[in-house]
Amino acid sequence: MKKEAANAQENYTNKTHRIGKISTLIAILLILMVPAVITVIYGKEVEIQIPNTVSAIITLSAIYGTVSVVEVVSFSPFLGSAGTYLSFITGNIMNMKLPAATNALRVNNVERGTDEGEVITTLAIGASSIVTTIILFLGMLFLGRLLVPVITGPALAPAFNNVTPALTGALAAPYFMKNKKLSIPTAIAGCLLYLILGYDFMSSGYSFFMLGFIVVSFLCYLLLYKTGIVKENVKR
Amino acid sequence: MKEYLSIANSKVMAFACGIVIIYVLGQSLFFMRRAWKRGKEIGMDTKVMKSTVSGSALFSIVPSIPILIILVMLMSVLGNYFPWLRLSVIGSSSYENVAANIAARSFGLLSYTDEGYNATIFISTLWAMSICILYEPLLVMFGQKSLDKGMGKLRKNKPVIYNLLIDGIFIAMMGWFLRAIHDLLDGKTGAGLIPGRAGYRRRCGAHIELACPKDQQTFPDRDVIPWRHADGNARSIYCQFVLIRMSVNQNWRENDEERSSKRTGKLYK
Repeated sequence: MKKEAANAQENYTNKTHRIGKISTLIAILLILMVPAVITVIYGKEVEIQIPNTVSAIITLSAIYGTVSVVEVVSFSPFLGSAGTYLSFITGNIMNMKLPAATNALRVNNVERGTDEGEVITTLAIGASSIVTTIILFLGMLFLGRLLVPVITGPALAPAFNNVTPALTGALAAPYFMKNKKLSIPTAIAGCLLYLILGYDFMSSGYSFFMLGFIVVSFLCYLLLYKTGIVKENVKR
Repeated sequence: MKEYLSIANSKVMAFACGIVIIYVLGQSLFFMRRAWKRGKEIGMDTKVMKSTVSGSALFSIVPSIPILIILVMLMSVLGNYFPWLRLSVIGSSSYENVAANIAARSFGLLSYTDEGYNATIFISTLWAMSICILYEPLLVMFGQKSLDKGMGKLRKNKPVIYNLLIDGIFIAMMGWFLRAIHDLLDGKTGAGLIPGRAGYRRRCGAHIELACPKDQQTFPDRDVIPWRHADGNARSIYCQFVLIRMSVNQNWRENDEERSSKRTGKLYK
């Protein structure tokens, strides 16, 4: 019975990967289709400058190439298999999908990486991306022009500049509190780095710092665990 | 109206972008349906799954709103449809703005709001933005399965190491947002504690950096933008707390009984 369940799960996961790969491929082709269609239709009237386009692509690649490796590796354990395929096509991961998935797991008291966790994260990320799509559709039609003066207006501008830190803060705080011994070194190091090196420097090297942070905190925890300061399995 | 906007706002553009968005919507629905079925198979409560969907939908409304700001900003330059596609489908609010600017700069302009922006640059921007966002999906396409398998194996064989690794990643990622502390002291997000002219200039500068392209960044007088006035600070801090409380409340909904009743329940309810 147990073996059967494990088999069923493996089937489901394998199928998720197959469907995920195929649907991602289609999405990539569709995304490239947009500039291709425009180029084909308007290409005769408009001069296309390939060298400048290539230089823009190289500059952007230099910036976002490393970011994407770091992001894929560090985000995917939190999004689940199907969730990862969905998230990296629907975008807005750090400010929407990841908090949504983490929040859903927490609300339902489900551990990530389990069968239930996979179902929950997929549902959460799917629902989240549908909501964003609807809001942005309305935004494109009329809501944007109506709302933006209000959002950037007197009372609310600072609040909306801080939505992502507020969301992540709310998610991180209980986590920090539960794993005090683990999070204190990271938290202190983070604060110090920001205060010493300054915001601009930190945000320019965002992906490298995150990668460094991940490696260093993991090694710290390993050390703490090996020396016996952190004994039990980390609670969740 | 600039001539290239007739391309950007053309029906062809609307149609092309619409197809992609509908496809991605369908993909989300399809994955959700699969997960729903799978959840039933492994005996999960339908109520739990329903509340996950509705909870996550509600949760996503507030973080969607800042994206609207970027949408409107980009819409003035790239037309109605392309920013709509990019922000609802693949990009993130932080990426698109930078990408559009870099593309414009490679043509020798200062930013995408430059007068010289034309159809050639527009088409080139489309290509640059579309190609460079594809690294992540491509990586996911080729690497996700092995990454997933590796993680699964680690989780099974060395649960402690797995937990440490996951916690390490999570705390490090969240640690990134410790910049809020820096901001609080420095005035970057408008929540600064530095009083007077210097503080105002820094706060103001931060907002302008976020809101305007480089060439238009000047420090106007306090009266010119009254809504970024110093007392925005108090509001900003208050609004942050409201947002935090909103999300915390959701975190500690009934299911999380032990904690909500004992420690934090009183604090946040």
